[in-house]
Amino acid sequence: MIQTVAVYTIASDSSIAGQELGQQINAALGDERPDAVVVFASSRFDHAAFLHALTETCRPGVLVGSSSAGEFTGQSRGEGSACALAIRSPDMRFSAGIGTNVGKDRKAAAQAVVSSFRGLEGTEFASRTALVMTDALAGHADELIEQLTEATSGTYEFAGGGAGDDAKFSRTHVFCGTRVLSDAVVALEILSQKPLGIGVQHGWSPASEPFRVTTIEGARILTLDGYPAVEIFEQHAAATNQRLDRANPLPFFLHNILGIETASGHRLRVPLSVGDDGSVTCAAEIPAGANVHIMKTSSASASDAAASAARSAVSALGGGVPAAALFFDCVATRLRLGEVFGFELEAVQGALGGGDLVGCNTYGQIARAEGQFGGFHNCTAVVLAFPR
Amino acid sequence: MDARETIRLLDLLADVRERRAASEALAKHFAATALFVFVPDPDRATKLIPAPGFPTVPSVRGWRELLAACGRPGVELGRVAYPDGRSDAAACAYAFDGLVVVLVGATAPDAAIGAQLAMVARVLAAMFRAEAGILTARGELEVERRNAERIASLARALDRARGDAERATRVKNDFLAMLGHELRNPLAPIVTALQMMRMQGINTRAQDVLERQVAHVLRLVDDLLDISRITSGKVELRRERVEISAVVARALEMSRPLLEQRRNVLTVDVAERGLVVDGDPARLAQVFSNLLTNAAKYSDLGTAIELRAHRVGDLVRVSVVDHGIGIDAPFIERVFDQFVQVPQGIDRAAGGLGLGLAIVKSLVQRHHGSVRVASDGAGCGTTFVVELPLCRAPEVHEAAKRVEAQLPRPASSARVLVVDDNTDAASLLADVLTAYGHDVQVAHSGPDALLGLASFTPDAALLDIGLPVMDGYELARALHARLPGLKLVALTGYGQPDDRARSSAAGFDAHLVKPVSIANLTRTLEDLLA
Repeated sequence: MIQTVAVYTIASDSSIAGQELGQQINAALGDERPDAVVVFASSRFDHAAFLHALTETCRPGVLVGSSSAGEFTGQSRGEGSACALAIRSPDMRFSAGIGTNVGKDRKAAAQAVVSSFRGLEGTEFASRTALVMTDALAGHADELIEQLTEATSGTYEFAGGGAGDDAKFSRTHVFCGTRVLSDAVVALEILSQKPLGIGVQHGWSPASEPFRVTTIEGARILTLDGYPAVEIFEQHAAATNQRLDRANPLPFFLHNILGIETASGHRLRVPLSVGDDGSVTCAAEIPAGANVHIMKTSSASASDAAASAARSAVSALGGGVPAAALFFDCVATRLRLGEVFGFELEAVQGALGGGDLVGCNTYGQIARAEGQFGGFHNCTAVVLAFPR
Repeated sequence: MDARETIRLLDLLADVRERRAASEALAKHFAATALFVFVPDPDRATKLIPAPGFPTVPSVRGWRELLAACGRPGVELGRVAYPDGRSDAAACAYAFDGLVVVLVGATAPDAAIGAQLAMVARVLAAMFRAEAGILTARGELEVERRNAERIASLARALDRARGDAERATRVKNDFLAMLGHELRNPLAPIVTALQMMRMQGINTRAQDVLERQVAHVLRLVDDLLDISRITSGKVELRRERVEISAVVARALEMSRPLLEQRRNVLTVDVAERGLVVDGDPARLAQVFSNLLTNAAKYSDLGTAIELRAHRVGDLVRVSVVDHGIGIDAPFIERVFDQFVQVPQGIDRAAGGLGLGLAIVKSLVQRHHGSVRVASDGAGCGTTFVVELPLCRAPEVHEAAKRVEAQLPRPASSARVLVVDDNTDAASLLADVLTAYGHDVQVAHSGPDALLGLASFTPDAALLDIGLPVMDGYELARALHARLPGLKLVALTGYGQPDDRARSSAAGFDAHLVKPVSIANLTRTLEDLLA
């Protein structure tokens, strides 16, 4: 029988915030220690002090987490706060792995993470899942997930996201125990008999004609249809009564991202900046010659997508009832929706049908289910449900 | 304007590496500032994109309108952004089928330029269209190549994982076989001792308990040995055409003690004739016995169990239905895995190793059949369905023969040598044989046995195979060399066809697997000495 606790704090002092979360966990679990704690904390905290206080107070078996760009539970949400999901289950096994130097060597980082996994050999547990939090600013998150897939021979499902830093896009961190790391990835291995459920969905649809990517260098698009990329966005802005300020393009890009045409729908890419040469740099690579659309969304479709992800996660439990869920959504979604983001959380909570909900806004989301390679997404809602 | 020079410069456009330089030279040749070439997008013919290798425009301003006007062959004039996004310049666009050439700095159409471009437009259009297609395809191919690399690397990882798993399975099977064998050895004298006590008329409750518990341990050991043999493909099926009713009767006999103990109400609905399968009667009986035992173990006392068999097309379908604890959905897929059991309470009342259903599945598959399980969840009971290919031929050998439970007739007196390094096993065996009227001598090693021949000439010798110093095979050959007429019986924990063949090759007349029943032992001796 699984026991879960969702906790949240807005305490300003890092140590007090860690203590508060630990005390809330202790109060809910009584004398029992949590087997695992997943924690997300704003980048304003002194993370080392925060984690030290949290682990001292509730003494979890393992702890993983990351800095974030918006934290929430089913009851509370905010920025500059911290939240955690504590889990206790005699039927599950947890272990934590760390990989470093993600920016330099994804393969080595993935192998380092997996070296801590206990479920690679043997068939004691039918379900193998890993919660993966990575420093997305280190880049190459897509390749990292591929390397993790290969290192686990495709036998694990992954969910998680890229650590955030309150939308400063400056420096992000992942946590393992009391360790605070940059340019690193952490994973919580979850072994169980009952399957965990992963749901993934985005609420974006094409808002423009397709454009050919005619010149590109990695994630930097120089021309679309032979024209400077930024002018294509500007023309779209003009046609849709929006404003694109080259000096401050993020407000526009929050609402207008790129969707790469693929056989299985549109793969999203978030534009981040505009170059002096009229180029637009995205959060991840785009293949040369690809057809892309400028995509649009609305608060309703974002909520629908998040709820759909939650329903998919519940459905993947194979008839099981969710005891708790972790929810990862793009920081852009929160910034774009503002207060309306609360409705999205309500939609997720409703689709889960109760149970504890904990999550954060991330820089990119991770969801790799069976039969998939790519597992790094942008502007996408990801839900990881734990069975009762 | 020199037409030959025009052709020479246009000809240079064929080389993508020379294209920028050639376009600059052509622009100069045509008295223009710059020359741009556009072709239709490979996916959307109405959209023009820069031809491969040509410069892109500095801004969308003016260019979109000008190119939009080039929908059909002709000449269009306009003002376009050039040389940067802030400046404008006059432009003249010559449109052909599949090709648009824009001369920036040209303010009016030039018929001569148009004519010269027209001469090569078709060829250039075809060439640029092909190149644009190749570039697009190259991008798609690059994606496919990366996917193929990923698939290949994952396949390699899977191969490694499978290799590791197979090695681990082999080690596990070897371990299980060894464990089974090592457990059998100490059990043999215990079984013999219990049988002797019965022979001597000793009947106590403690003895009953011992017999039941030893029988239970023997079943577990048998399961361990079975699963390691079956999964490593070492089980040899002795197939014959057999009525499923005979198989079921045998299975009922095997599981009757537990069914009676659990007071289950058993309903059997199996036609006596007409459901013939080609199978090993003993192994098929094991299948249904395991299913019945399983049903009894996981049902409340006194609940109903149904076993039904009928024909479905070319199959014989046998279902075993219980109304017991059922199986939760997450476990349904795994019930046939080795060492997997439906979660029990802390008392583990149902016991077992989680091998019975794995054996069932393996044996059914070896018979080219299938087995499946259904349950509506915890508390809703379970249904197992076995399907086996139906044999149409009417000729059937009755497979079900009543197991002989009686002790055999005492044999006529013989001189028997018993050689076993397990002193308990050897002395108990000697006691049993003595009780049957035989003259018995015991040795605990090969050399001792050979030395003993000076004072004792046996008619038969019972030899353990795993003896120290010289093993049972070597001792058998040495004994035969001295006493050619000696009847040799191998007593061993190993009972595979290979083991039997090896003992036969060493000169043994019979091969008995421990723990051997007194009835079987005395009958074997009687047959050999007759």
